[in-house]
Amino acid sequence: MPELTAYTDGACSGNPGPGGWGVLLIARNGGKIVKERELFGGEADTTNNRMELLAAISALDALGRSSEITVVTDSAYVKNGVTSWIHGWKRNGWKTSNKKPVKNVDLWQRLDTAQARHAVRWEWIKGHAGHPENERADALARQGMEPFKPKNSKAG
Amino acid sequence: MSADAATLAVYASRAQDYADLNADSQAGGSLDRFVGALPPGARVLDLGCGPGADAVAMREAGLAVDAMDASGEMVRLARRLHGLNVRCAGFETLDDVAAYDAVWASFSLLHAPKSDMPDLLMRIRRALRPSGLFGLGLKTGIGESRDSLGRFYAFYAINELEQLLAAADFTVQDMRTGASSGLDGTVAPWVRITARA
Repeated sequence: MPELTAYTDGACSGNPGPGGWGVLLIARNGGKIVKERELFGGEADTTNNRMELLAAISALDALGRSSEITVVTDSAYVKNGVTSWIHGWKRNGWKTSNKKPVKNVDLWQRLDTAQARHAVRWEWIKGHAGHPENERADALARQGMEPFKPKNSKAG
Repeated sequence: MSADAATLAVYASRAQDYADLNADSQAGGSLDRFVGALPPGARVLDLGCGPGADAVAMREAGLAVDAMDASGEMVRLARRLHGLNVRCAGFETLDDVAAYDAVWASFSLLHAPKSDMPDLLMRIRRALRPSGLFGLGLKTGIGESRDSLGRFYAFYAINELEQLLAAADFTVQDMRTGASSGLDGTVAPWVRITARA
């Protein structure tokens, strides 16, 4: 059984602004890479947190059937959501403890549904700290953002 | 502090249903990794073993397995189905000291009140030898409640669990989340954590 790891990252130019998400999906067998897949996408007007969430969702949704997968992310927002906030939000009908609507609730609900299909091992890393796969996910996120960046208009 | 009577009653009346639902270990890769991290012949305690599917899988993998469960019916099933060495006792009676290389508590400690958890984690920590392995499975969420069958459940946020484990001097090595359906038919989110003493 190959081990699946998804390295996910989001990027945003301005916050909000044009953004992208990237996923590097690697299947390893006994440590040896047997398959790689790259996923990326973007939006014209979004935030870094939304792109981080969408990267994780896209990684989990890319798997056809229920799998064991490790999701590696450098997003403190995704980490806090998964390990802490989401439990309270679900209990409160997707409201914060102050009864306010949860920000990015559409994506959090999608992540909740996506992760329920799988057994997900979460790995939290520091971004831009010399993880080659994280750097590649970052490059994919930038690639996803590219079509949504304003065209070079020097005249302004 | 002792086991919840209503929860025990559900397991007493539906022990065979539960055993059928869990005839094979439901822990899958998690149990394989847990076993794989232990040397052959390692001494393991299955804490809250139920009908014993995980315990027998560990025994077949070459580990020396003790098991305990507070439900007399579950203990009888585990003995009858698998010939396991099972103590009929609640978590709060665990007072072994440095007796085990590993403790496996898979969706069992969720039947203990949250207020008992710090003490139970200390007991598990004490039962482990240095660098002993602890495999813990719980349902995630907030607070305590009973399911439609009447079983008592405590739910934990993942960061809450990380804090509880740190307070009991455990180091988390691995954390996995997912969701699956249980005896009451509902799909519930869970977390599995592997920690070192």
